[in-house]
Amino acid sequence: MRAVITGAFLLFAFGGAFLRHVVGVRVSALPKWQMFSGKSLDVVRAQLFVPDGEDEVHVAMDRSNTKTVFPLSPALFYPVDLRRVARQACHAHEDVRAKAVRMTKRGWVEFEDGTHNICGK
Amino acid sequence: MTDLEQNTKMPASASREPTSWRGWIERELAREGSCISAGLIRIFIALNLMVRWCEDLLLYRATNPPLFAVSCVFFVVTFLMLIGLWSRVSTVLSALCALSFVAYFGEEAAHEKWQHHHCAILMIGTFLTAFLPCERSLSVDAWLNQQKHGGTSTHQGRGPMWALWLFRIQLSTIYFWTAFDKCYIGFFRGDRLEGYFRQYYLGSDAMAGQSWSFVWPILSVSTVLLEFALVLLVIPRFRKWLLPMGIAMHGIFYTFLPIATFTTTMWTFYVALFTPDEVGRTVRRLL
Repeated sequence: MRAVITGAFLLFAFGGAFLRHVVGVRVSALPKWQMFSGKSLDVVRAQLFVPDGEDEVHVAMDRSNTKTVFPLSPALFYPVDLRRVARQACHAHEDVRAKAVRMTKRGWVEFEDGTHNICGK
Repeated sequence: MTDLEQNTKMPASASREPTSWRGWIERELAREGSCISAGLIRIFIALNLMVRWCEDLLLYRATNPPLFAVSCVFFVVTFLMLIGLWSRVSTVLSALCALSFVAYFGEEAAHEKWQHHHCAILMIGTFLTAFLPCERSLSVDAWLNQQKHGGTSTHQGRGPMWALWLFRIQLSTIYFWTAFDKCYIGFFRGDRLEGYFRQYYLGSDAMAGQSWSFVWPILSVSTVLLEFALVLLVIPRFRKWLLPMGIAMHGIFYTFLPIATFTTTMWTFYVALFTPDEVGRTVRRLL
């Protein structure tokens, strides 16, 4: 019984995380030890843009996508270089569905409807 | 702790050096040891559970009957787990409460904070504690047992400690996958660490190009290398070097980032890296 439990846990802890991290199976019961992945980073970055004539940086993102991939607002983590963001704006996806948001000084993201959190609000 | 506990020897089968992997696994699964480390883990996990969830679960905050009910149960069972009364049952119930927070209230009811891996690791740690003989030491259960038998514990403070391997497996798995997940150019370039710094300290108005921006890639690569190295923590010969680095790394996270109980949970898991008798001897010396 001890061997079975240990083997099962090894399968769950390592194999489950393999499915979640590498294969990309999105089942919440499987362990996942990071809140982000490289793929989601690329997607989110491609969706950032800077509108013309604005002093403050505005970003846009696909809420449904980020809710699936990111539990937290990606803009909290990736407003790292505003110039780089502006450059990436040239390559932004055309089908960005989210509304424009404002990135505040502390890195929070404020949506047009006044919410501050991408998830659960 | 009793005299019996202190004088009990390791079983002969546990001290023989195995000649094969199968023999090694069998020895580890049959290994017995001082239950003090199990008691310590139970207490630390219970404290972590309280720190993580008690404030969120204050009864006036319960927005629906299920959450109210689980909150009430949580307060009772985590207290019982802490003092070690009906230890196994209270530990299992605490784990089930944590599971409901992570899997139901976190995922289904979109309580975003409870979806974090900080909560997941705490929930898993609570379940794993239930596999340890956590009632046999540092607990009211042990004291009651001792009283019942006229001052002599029938448990002798020793028990099967194979479940410590579950903690070790979990530790290695976490380090491996967190390091694996950081292996992309965005992290190595230092963007993520810089993002953290801007989020919590500088604000996002701070522009790139500071003279110290070279720090982020160095820190990022060092973090990934260290996390891959920490996968080897379960191997005793590496423990001497890696353990201080692991403790320091989590200490830095604890000091600089709002990661709540993650650091303290990981430090609790570190108790499982030591043999039960090492922990038992150390605690007895301290007491």
